[in-house]
Amino acid sequence: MIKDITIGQYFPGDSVIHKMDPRMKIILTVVYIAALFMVKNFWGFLLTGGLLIVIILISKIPVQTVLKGIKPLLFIIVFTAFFNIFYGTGAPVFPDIGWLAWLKWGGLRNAAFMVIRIVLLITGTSFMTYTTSPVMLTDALERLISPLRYIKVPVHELAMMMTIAMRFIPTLTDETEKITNAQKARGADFETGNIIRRAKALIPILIPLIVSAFRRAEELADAMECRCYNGGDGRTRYKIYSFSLRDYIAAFIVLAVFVSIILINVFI
Amino acid sequence: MIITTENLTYKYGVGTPFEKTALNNVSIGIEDGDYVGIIGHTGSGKSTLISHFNAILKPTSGRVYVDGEDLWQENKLKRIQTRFKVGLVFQYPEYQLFEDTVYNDIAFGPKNMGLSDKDIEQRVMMATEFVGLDKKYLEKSPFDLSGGQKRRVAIAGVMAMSPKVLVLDEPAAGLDPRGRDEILARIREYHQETKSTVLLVSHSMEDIAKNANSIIVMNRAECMMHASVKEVFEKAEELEKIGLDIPQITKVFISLNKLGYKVSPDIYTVEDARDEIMRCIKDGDVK
Amino acid sequence: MSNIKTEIIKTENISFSYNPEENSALVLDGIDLEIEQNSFVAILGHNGSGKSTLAKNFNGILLPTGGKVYACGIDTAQSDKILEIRRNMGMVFQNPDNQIIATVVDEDIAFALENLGVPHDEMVQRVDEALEIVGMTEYKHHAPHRLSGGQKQRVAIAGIIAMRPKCLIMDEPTAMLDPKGRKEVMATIKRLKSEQGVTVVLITHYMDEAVQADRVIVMDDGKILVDGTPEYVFQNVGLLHSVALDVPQAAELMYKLREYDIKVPISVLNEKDCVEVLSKLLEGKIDNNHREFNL
Repeated sequence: MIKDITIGQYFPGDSVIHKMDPRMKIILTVVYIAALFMVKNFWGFLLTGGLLIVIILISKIPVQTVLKGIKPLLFIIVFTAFFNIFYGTGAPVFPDIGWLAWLKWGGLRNAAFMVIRIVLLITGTSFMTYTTSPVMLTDALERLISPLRYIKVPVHELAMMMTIAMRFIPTLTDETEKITNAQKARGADFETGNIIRRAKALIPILIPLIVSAFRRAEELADAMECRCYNGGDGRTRYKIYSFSLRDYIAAFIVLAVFVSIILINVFI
Repeated sequence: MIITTENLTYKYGVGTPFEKTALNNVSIGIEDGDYVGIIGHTGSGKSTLISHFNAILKPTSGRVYVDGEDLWQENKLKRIQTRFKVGLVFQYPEYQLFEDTVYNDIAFGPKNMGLSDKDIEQRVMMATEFVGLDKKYLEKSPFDLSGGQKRRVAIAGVMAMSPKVLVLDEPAAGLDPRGRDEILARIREYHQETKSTVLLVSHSMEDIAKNANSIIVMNRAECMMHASVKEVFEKAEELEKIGLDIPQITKVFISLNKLGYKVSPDIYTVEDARDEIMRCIKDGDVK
Repeated sequence: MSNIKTEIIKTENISFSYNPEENSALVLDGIDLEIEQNSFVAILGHNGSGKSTLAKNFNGILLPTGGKVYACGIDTAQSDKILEIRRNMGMVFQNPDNQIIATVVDEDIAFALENLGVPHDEMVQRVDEALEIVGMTEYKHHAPHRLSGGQKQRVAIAGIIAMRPKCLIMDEPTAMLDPKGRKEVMATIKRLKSEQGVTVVLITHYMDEAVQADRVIVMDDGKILVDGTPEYVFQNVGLLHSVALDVPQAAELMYKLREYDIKVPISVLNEKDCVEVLSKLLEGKIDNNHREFNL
């Protein structure tokens, strides 16, 4: 079900994490990802994992939700783990059992590292979207990339398009479900037949959906004009961002983890 | 009984923070050939209920029988067949149109039933007539029609399957008074001519009063009443308490009745109201 | 120029066609209209009568093909004044889903203010104020798609009200709502008129809503058919029926009784008046000497 996917979903709240400056959240997420890829041993994972647990606890987002976010990607995780086990190097795990000779300590280690890395990566980055409204996120992105407007990148237009896209995702998801049900009620069959048949069966859903998206776009354009929209020039902002103490503290913690990982890599 | 539900319960989003019981232990029976109005405020479970009648939704618990067969004991293919027995017209059905011509769109359901081209044509013609659509539109693109005409095409698309039960969710929503009256008149005619069962979901008590024989009142995921129009409207106060509007004219006659005038409180339409007043004056027996 | 002050909308013989080059049919045909400040005007008409097109001419979303429209005294054809016109002539549409731009309620309400370049502190205050006016303060941080239809429409109204417009034009704002949502929106509209002094132009199919206005304009075929107080307009039951419009049941009953030559008053719109008239009638206080009727 499309509704089970929690990546990119926002859970409103007012924890310290929610209140952080979204620009700082984006920057620190990038630092976190970089740190994750630099980790070479379990100590490093312990550190990043510990950081993540602290974030989960502070943000008050239920652990089940976090775990649910991993579920749709379980297949990829198992898949990569599987390959890492097969293509391992080093000493065999069971030197006395002949048919298990392919199972090497190095493979197990790589697989475990891979799984931990992916899980930490997904959960860590999804916390950015869990705790930041999409509008704030696009806003922050727009501000972070706004220097690009000097080289004629239409930063405001891009950000506006992203905001509208995100606003309409739930609306169009609902609509898709409604149209699907309506066509099912007329006996449309989406569940049997080969790939071509199934692809063809989607036409009765796609056409109404596209027609409706255009109609909505037209109405939305009128509504935006009625609210005096005339491009990015002279606009002020409702949300004002300024780094506060909590942002500096967060930056300090994440950077400390980052530096520690480098130190661990060097000394252990 | 053409449709029966037994302790039908349905929950949305089980296991998420948004879990909600949309239907709670609903046991009802729909008589074959009846015209049933389904009322209730938004979120009362009306739409969820009708989506169970043709197996669009699977009950969390409880059973749904259509024409004596337990829907979820049957295999998948049989279940899809139910969709041809219970034709469901959703809200704003014109948004489901997709074919290049009106004819093809109306033919979509019959084609899925696997009928022959000749039968399909006959079904399309029949349905077109029932909804009162001019045959000259059949070769046009449905997207070039007006809102009211699109609505008719969409309803014809379901009627063309000749379902034993026709279920319509707010078929008049968003139409102007003329569009509304015409659509409802067409549905009434369809009901009378085909003797099929019709279920009409509506917010408008006036429309229900004018058309239905019996009423199902949904409230907070439960079936609160299922009785004749008269019996249901007699409980006007209860209906108002759960946020439903009864027709203005009914309220007037209830007030008059309470004031001691010898008028019937069961007046739902203006014509009935006039006749009742005239009867009273004629009889000279007013208080 | 002095008369412009009291009229918020003035149209001079406007006509409109979507394809003037191809001589396509006139959607609006010679509309002369003046709408006074702080009035509540309902515009009725069946689909295709031109009422939505007329509304879009009031704030320059559409420009008339012939004639002039003055919004707050400004000719809507003056393209350099268009923002001033739009700010003063707020407009709310039928489908609340298609006019909410942001994914959080307060951020959406701020949209127009951002466009207008309102300073931040004032913006925050005006967003809160708009939420308060439509009674949606507790939903400030909610996601719009989880709200009910009536609530969404109130958010859409707040998004307009935040601009502090002089006039609110509403194009069938209740058509997609359930009875509860309709009541919420109607209560909000009436409060805006009485407490904020906003002029309201309401386009609707619902007679019970039109009855609450100070003035009702009925449109048919791009022209104004009847224009007056609700009491006056709903006397014309036959005329309204001929253009496929409803009248309140009370008015219709009076009309039907008068067909039998019973002299009940014609301007009865609400339940209370109807009960009163019928009690008088039943007690013989109203002339009903034509007793020879066939039932």
